[in-house]
Amino acid sequence: MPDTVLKLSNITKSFGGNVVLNKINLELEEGQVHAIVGENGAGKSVLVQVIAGIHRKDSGEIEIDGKRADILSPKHARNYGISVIFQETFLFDHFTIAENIFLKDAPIKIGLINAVDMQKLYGNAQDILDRLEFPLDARTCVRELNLAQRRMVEIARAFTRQSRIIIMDEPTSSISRAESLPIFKMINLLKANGKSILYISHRLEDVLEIADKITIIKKGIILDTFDNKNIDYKDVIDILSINSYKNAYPILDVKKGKEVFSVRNLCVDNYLDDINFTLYQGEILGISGLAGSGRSELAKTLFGFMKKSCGAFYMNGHKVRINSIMDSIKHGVAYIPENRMDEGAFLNLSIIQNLLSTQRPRLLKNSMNSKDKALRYINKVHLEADNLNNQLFTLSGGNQQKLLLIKWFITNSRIFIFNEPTKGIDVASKVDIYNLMNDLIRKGASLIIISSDVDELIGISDRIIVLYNGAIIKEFGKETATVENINYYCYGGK
Amino acid sequence: MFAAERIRLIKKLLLENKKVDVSELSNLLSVTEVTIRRDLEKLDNENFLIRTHGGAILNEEKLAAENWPYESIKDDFFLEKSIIGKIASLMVRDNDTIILGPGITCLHIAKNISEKKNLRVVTNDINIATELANESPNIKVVLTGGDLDPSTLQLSGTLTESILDGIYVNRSFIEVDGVHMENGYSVESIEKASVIKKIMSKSKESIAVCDYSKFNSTSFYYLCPITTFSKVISNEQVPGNYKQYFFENGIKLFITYDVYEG
Repeated sequence: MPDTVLKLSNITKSFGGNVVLNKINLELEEGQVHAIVGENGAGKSVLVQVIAGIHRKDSGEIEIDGKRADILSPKHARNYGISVIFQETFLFDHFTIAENIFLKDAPIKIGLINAVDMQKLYGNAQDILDRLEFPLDARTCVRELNLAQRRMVEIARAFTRQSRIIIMDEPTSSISRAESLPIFKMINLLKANGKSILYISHRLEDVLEIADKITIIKKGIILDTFDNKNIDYKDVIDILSINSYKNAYPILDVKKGKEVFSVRNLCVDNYLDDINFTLYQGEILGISGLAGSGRSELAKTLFGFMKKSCGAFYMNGHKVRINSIMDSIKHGVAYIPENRMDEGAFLNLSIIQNLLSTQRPRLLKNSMNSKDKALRYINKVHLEADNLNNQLFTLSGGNQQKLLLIKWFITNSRIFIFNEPTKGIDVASKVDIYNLMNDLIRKGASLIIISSDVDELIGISDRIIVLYNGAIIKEFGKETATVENINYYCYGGK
Repeated sequence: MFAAERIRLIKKLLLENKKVDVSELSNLLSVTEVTIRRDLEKLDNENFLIRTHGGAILNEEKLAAENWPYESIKDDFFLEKSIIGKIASLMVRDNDTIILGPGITCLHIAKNISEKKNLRVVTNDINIATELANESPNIKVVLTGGDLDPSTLQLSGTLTESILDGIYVNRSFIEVDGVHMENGYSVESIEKASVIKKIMSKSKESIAVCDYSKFNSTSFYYLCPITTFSKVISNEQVPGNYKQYFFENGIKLFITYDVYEG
């Protein structure tokens, strides 16, 4: 019976009243690859961050080797022998592989001046690369490496730190299947060396290939844990597809009008391949796909935020140029981003300044007018703000999201692109957002909704297109869209 | 004080006095004259009043032209109800058969369905039947008989119910007078509750309508539990715990945002 190296009991974590991890119980055994599978927003990354000491748990216990472990900072985690390989790599571009591997623990040559023993550094690094069977030269500069190779460097670093528990957060995201193979090989080597690996992924085929145990998480709750032997693709899809709020989405069924927007042969290098679709007046078009499917890139390209490499946009039948955000605003396109902290909101500006951020101030008179207009809008949504001159972050997440939506109402937009419209906001605000969508469609606007919450997409969309590896692989109408069907194609089914 | 409350108070004063004064309102409500002017502008846009130098007067002509029963104009939640009427009308299809239950909110629905084709409406509210007869002659109207309540012009009693017995419809709109987590839905009289229960039993789908002031309150007579209606139409001011409860229990809550101007 192998030893349990990491044990989580009743781990709970919430952000601003929003429970993201709900009584998580998990055991990781020595020499085991334990995969955690779930959609975006299921709580996987937060779980990693709690174990890594980045976020503190609200309650529950972490045990390492049967002893209670208080992990309060990333340093604590490292001292307990935990290494994390994040989705985004943290490497110094201008350093060599060897320098990155031994960043803190480089071998020192004692002499007149204590200096790094470069020969030993490269020798040791090359040793490790060879042992892990990475086909790389330790003297190569990191900026010359692709994403898959960078991840391998990070893994080598974890290996040299004598980490016993290695957590990998989506190690194969944004890289091809062929590039993933060396990573899988390396995971097996680590396993043979007695390391324990927590493998976070939403790529089911990868997980089924390398994991010993599979835990399925959804909306912060663990649904089930299996031995890989006893489960197949279809079973996991079925468990992932249990839907909860099927009938709760209050979306009006309005009459659809003429074609307002269409995309022809859209390509973006490395991200999107020959995308075609048409949007009608009053319609809600859902776009489904896992992280890395190209769904966010599609949203950004439609908004002129990412450069397309080929293809064309048509509005009301006329070809239009959308190459910048200014272009898209001019054509009445609005974008409500996935990550409002980074892309949409100016947290330190006041509520009113945020509302006016889509306006181009020209004349004082103009700006007075739009300020008046902004105030009227705020009154109409009953935003409970004491003072509109307060900074944006004084509002709750739900109210921030409403504000980011309302600011586009002022620009007379006709096409609204939502990227994760209700991610991380409270349920009451969700209901508000859906009803604001109703206000848009009943007055003839058209919506494109990108969401990792398949339940939500089905609840609100008239049509759903599924993206996989940057291409549209399936389209569903209201009658055929089920969580099972959509998940099947999202996870690469044919 | 929130803008919505302020506007409601201004409306109330207007309906009672037929005119208001900017500086008086500013003193009364402790907000600047600029704010008051903005509120008046809003109500002007809604055709509720006509702005004058230093104040505003009630737009009686407009309100009279729309044939509103006097009591309903005095309603504190006139605007809230009127948008509920618009949203509800989007749930009425061409070729539909519906029942409009008794009440002012249902009257607002009746005012928004004149464009529908081949529609049949059953009602026990004389105000609604009159409105449809005047403004939407293409709609087939069935008025139930029954005992007349002279103050509301609504019909009820065994005769009303026995007529409803023979009728089947696709959907009905039910105006409720109280919505409460524990006490469920309630209405103001036993007679009304009895007719509404009959209406609900004759409809494939029943939709509850009421302005937000009815939430967290209980009226005289119990109608049904809180989970009964699968669709509810009200306003954005509905308390957050109800929004959450409805969503988590698979009930669609439509609220009447009216922000986008296209």
